[in-house]
Amino acid sequence: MQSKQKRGTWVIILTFIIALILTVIPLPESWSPYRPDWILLVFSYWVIALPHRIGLLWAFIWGLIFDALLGSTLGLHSFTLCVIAFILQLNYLRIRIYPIWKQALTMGGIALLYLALVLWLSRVTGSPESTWTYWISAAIDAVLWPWLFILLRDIRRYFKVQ
Amino acid sequence: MLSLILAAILMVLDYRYDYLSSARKGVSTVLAPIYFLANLPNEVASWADSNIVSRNDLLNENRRLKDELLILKAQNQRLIGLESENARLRSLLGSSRTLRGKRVIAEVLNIDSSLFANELLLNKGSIDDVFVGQPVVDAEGIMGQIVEVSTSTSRMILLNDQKHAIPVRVDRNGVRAIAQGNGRTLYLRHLPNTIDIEEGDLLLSSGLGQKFPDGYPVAKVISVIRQSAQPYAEILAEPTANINRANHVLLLWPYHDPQKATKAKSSKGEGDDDIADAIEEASDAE
Repeated sequence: MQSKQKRGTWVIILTFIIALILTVIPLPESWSPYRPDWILLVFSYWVIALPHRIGLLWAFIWGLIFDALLGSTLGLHSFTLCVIAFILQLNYLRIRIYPIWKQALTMGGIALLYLALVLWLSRVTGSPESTWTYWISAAIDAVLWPWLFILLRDIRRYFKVQ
Repeated sequence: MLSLILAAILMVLDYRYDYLSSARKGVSTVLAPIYFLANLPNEVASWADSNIVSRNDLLNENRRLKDELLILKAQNQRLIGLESENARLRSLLGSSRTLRGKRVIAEVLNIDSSLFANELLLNKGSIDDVFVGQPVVDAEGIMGQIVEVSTSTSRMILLNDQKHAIPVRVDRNGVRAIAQGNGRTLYLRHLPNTIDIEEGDLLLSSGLGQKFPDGYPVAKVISVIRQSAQPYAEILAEPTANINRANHVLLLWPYHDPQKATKAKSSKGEGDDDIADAIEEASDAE
């Protein structure tokens, strides 16, 4: 049972690493507000799919790595991802049975919360104000969610991650 | 709940104190491959750019570069003379002079790495002796300084970041000021309405903060607004360096004279020696 529960950790880590790369890959200046929050999307998928494995600890560790990558205050993204993980852990059963468009809307709402928390925390730690384009990526997240969901579900089934 | 508290504690520790810099350095070192992977498409494009060129283009470029080198060399000859003359004059005045230290070219990793700050990643790290607070310049002027160093990469903050300020002086008349970033340009803080600064004035680094070397171009004044209702004049300046387009930057090390260091040790606290040292240095340079 134990060995069955722990299958495919490397797949999860690999998807996270790809998400990290996508987060920092250079985009043209005019496109950069439209960059989706890859870490948030990938992380949310794994919490909804495997809530018994991916929880607050993963949120904490990947948040720290994300902070180091972006040079933000250590703990900023940890905190935010922990809040998101907590909300998703409470609601994963409900979200799983939603039709996919409703899932996408939910993800849009969660992305808004995520962006708000990140903005708030970085304001507290002394970062400047942002423009309204900052919030566009929440809509992009919602639009992208169905495709990412299907892709990651196929990956999960193919590698039998449990 | 526990991880929330832990994350909050971490944030406070990192923001208020400096305990976590080694942990951060460790994690950034592990993350270096991610930076390089993300930079890969850019590398490939520039490789293709430089390798798929016609022979004619190369010849033309070579000729142009040779011409440019000749002109620069000629200008440099005059500069060497001026520099030693300047050093001699300064030593007569008893003030220390600026000397050239080590310098290394670093490449900017093309990465959108920061959330709100104006920061760049460089491909030189602690194995190249990069240190926190090190000045970074490009061909046109000062760009910023290093704020974080990991083993093979480092992070620099640009002049126009809101958290960055640099002491400057006006080239025309020597008026001193502090230029702080506002996200896009620089503004000069706390200058009275009567100050003699005009549009188009060149601002040089004054070297007063001991961080940046003296006399490098920093910015050009683009607007001066004087309102009698306001206590201070509103002066904006644009950095002379190619802050948004630079691919290569120059890291500067302060000049350390080994001779002088040993001398300072042997004769501690004797003020007269400083001037003697300075004069000696000046004659060395010639």
